[in-house]
Amino acid sequence: MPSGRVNLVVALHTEAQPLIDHLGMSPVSSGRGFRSFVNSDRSLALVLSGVGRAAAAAAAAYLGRDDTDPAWLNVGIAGHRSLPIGSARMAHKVHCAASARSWYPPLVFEPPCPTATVRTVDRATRDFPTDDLYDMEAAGFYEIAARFAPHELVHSFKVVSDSRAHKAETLTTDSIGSLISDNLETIDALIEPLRRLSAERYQSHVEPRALGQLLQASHFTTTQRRQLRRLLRRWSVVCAQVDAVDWVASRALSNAGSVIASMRQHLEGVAPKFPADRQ
Amino acid sequence: MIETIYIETEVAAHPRARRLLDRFPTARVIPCERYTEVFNPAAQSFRLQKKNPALILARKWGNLVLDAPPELGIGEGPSFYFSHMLNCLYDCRYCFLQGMFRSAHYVLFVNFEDFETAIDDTLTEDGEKPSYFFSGYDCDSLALESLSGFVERFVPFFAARPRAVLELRTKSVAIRSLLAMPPSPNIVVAFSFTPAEAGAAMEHGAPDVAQRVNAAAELAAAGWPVGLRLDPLLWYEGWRAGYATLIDGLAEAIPANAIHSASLGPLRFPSETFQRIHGLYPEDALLSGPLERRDDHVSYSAAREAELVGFVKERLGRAFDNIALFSFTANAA
Repeated sequence: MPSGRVNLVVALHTEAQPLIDHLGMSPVSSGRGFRSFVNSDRSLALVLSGVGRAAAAAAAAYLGRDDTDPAWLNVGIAGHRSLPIGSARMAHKVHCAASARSWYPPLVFEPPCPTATVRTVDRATRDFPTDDLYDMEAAGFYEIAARFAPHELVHSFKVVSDSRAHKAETLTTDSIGSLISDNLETIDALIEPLRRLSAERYQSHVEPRALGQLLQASHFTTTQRRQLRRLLRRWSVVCAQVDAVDWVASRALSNAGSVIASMRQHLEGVAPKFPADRQ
Repeated sequence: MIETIYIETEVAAHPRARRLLDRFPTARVIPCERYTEVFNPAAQSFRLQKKNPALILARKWGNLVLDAPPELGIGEGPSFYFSHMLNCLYDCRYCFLQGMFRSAHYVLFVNFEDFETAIDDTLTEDGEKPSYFFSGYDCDSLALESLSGFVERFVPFFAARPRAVLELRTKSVAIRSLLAMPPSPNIVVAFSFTPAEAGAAMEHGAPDVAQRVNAAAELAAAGWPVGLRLDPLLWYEGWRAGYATLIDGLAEAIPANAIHSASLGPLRFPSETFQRIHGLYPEDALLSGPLERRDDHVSYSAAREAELVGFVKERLGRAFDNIALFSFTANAA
């Protein structure tokens, strides 16, 4: 997954369809429990959660079972007392009205649209008592997605669909789809940095290249495997110009213990280099 | 540039908070109940957050003045530290803050007046002995001065309390506000130094070492007591030449009689802190280098550490006559 991955959690099919089309996603045939979609290189996944906090949480858990380092984005519509219909907002605070818990997604990249507090309620509201966006999923999504990724990689994006002047009852399948379609450029601008950050995070967990080859050559216990992995990570930093497999072969090291001891001893003597031309 | 300010609702009306909000009129301002809702909850990434830290304005409750860790000691009297800020503008790869905190946001405690009361209480409790106060343990004392106004407030405060010694620990060259004040014999401006090539590789965003030497020299010329902090001592290819050049440069720029003290601190991390930092930066050469676990710390081997300390001590002694020299080793605590 060198390009990173973004998991999208969307409540309704009408909200998701413009994304599915725009991002070139296809249904995952083995999907059970939730309908989900992926794009061709599997760098994007989308799950349809259904309405509500619990559904959004369960859908995030469903996508989170993959052992990758994805970023997460909740996309959907929300109400606001006075913002124009179609206004896009990224959440800088997600507040759960039922539990009174709040989350503060750290904004480590330039948000592509203004930001706001998203207040998640269990029943749709018509009077919008505070100057926040009101939705029904963000808090459930956030609480669970943040178990799979650091907060910096978990975000919620909302498009205003109804207000005091424009009641939710007037929304149609087409109008909901249009609200998302009209903001695809902004959503792209949100997915891109998230994908980049996910890739960066993934890179830091990649297994050292030599690990598989050395594990095949000798028998390593579980503890020794862990030690070898750590040593190879250090090796790739401080002895990057020397191939670890060749180095082990050249010393005719025949068992796991001697491989680990020799590599450790070698690394102990290598001083970090700080090039003078970086001054 | 601060783009996001989190503010505890309780300090929204505090004059220092108001001034900062006025100063950043385009920042998004996000209210919170307690700064700990934003700062340090589990599953935050210090490395990712360091790309664009926010400012958090908060009130510090309790434990405003704490006993200082032994490695900070620069005198005979009791040592304390207080933290008007958490986190630092710079991004030094060896810094323990990146392993201690999960958040890279800057927390500014705006209730300076409560810190002053706590410092006075501490001075009263400790009778007539001189007491040492350190302000640069959880942050750089000067780096965010334009934002915090810390020096402007606390230098006159300490200047009026000669029994107290304040150490401002810094890598910053933001010395304008100090130069605008009369020097005070009980306020030590202590600069952290590593050799230039190590600084360039490790101390991201910090002023280069030559600039720091110049700033220290300027303060010394203005009459301020200057501290030299060679902490941490780093082992790398060419370290002897690096430290020799650094110390010669310091001796050339700063007269010995302006030096309050020098202190040496070998590289050391609490074991858990090291695991976290290395996990954040697995590609870093210093952290991937020859460090070993010794008791509850990760550091260089005892032999390597002794070699580093011995060499630097000897060079400092040769460069500065009668220098007050303090050194701390990991297993001396």
